[in-house]
Amino acid sequence: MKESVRLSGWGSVTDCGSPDQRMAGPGVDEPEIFTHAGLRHATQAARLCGLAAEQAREGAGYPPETLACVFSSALGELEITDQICSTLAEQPLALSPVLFHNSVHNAASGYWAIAAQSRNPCRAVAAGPFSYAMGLLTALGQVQAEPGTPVLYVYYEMTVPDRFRLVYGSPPARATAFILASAESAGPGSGPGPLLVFEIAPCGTRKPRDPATPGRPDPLPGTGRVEALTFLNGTFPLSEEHDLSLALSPCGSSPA
Amino acid sequence: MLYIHTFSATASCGRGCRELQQALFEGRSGLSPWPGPLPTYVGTVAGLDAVRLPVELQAFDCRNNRLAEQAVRTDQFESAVEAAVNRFGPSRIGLIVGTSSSGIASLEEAYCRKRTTPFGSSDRLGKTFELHATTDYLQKRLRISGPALTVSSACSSSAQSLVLAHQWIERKWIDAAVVAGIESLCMTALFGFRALNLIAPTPCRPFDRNRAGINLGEAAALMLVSNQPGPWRLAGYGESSDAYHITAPHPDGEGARLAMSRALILAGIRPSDIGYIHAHGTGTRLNDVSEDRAISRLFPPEIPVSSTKGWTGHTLGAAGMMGALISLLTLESGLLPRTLNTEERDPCLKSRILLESERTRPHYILSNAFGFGGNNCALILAGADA
Repeated sequence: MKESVRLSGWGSVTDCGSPDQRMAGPGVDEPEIFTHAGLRHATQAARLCGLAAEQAREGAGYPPETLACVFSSALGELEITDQICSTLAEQPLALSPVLFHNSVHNAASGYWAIAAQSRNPCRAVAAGPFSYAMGLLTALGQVQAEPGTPVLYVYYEMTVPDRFRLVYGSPPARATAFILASAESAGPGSGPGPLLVFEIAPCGTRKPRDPATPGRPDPLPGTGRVEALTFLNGTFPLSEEHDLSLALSPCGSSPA
Repeated sequence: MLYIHTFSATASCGRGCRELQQALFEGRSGLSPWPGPLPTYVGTVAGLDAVRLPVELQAFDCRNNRLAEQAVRTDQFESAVEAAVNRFGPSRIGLIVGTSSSGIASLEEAYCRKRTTPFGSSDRLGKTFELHATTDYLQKRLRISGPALTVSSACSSSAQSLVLAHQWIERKWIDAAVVAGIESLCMTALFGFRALNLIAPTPCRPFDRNRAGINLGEAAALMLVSNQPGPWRLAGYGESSDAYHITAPHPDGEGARLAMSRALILAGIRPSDIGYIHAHGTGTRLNDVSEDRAISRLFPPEIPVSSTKGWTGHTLGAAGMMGALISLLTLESGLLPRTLNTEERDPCLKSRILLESERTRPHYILSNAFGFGGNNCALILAGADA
């Protein structure tokens, strides 16, 4: 059955500066919204997602504190996991408390909620190769369960440490963000956006995955804001048997 | 309406609901001294080393998946899912698993072996270490093929999983779901919480004036849910974010209060209708004080409150589902478990913390789960006819 929500804003960001730039301190690739003192230790993923979320929110016009959020990523920040496991193998008592609390999968969404000062529900999810579409489905369900609260959906994957590259490849870090609202909502500011029509559809027999390259989700959102929209048109793998079928329909037209 | 049909519990103090219930009756804790290099107590599930996965799923072998396997075999859960598959069809049954660290212990082991070569396909990272690994295992093991998701919002993960099952079944995206909270012990959490100075060297004593922090535990809690009438139901839920600090809860429990009051509104009941509150109750000073403030600002002072972390330890991503499951056992038995190990209530607390178990028949039970990142989730459980 086809359903629809309103797409109110979108954004996409690739990479977050080189490791050297990151060490240069705050100010590099810092989302403007990251002013709260509690964001001092925000992770690279949190900053990247924050930049994408801000792009999306500027288009939508919703104040940040009015949004619920769903963050999805298959792998989260393997860089932090790698550092923790290395420390545990060498000197476990030297493990840094910051590294530990930054290692939880909901660090990026947690920092966002602090930056946005949002008291709304906030989730961090993963679904292996299906992380993009399953995360989006989670966000779509949230919009429909609470039509009065628009939802920020952020999908991100980070660059993996060297020793993981044979398994996960080495695409640059990237984050894509969408703001989704109830189809009935008029939206603030610049008027209503296009409708996103979606459906859970059987996909027939999927080509078996190459066992040598597991893990990475199939769709990798592209480099710019315009490319982000290509991830709301087409079919995206939701499970071994289902696709999430997506289509943007122009503003004002009714859902199919 | 989300109905709960059957559930399975595997924790340090009991493998199976009967053993868990017995432990709650007898005040028998599952905590024991950790044999590792930190002075603390942990809740370990005995016998996991001997659990074998089915031959065709051997590639998934790791402690977290053995824990999942043990839970599937417990409390006739597997046959309940088979019956649901026959009734609804495999593709109409969703799977939502809450875990905070999945099979990270298998990656920790690889690093501890001082390996220097890059990881490759033979390392089976997707089947053991990745967040979704145990979800993938359970889906194949139970032969269900609806949408499957891993929720990893720290210690509120599996409470959120039950909320998502409700949302997806309401949308008719699925007819039924297996909802799980699964967490096995890992060094990351043990040394991580130690780095935060939150690990207790003694058995934990939530809400006690002499509390010393948390003990970690492992557990698997599974439920089969659908919109068809069953013995119990999720009467309400409420979620919120603290928007305050990445690890510390809001000092006045503002986010926790908001989550609990949203749950009451959705359930359509008054605070005085709640007969028992299963607290998150980790045993850290910050959690105890903020949760107590949230409860005492919202509920009448006579409502009994307790924490069961003294039985199971803090099971992190599984804590939300363990809380929901113990709430169902309490609805069944009428036994409100005391706060095990706690002897002298912290005088700064206002709630009626149970130091002795009580017998009564609550109609509605509220269970809390709070996590890093300021995620709060409150669930209200009830019998089908309450």
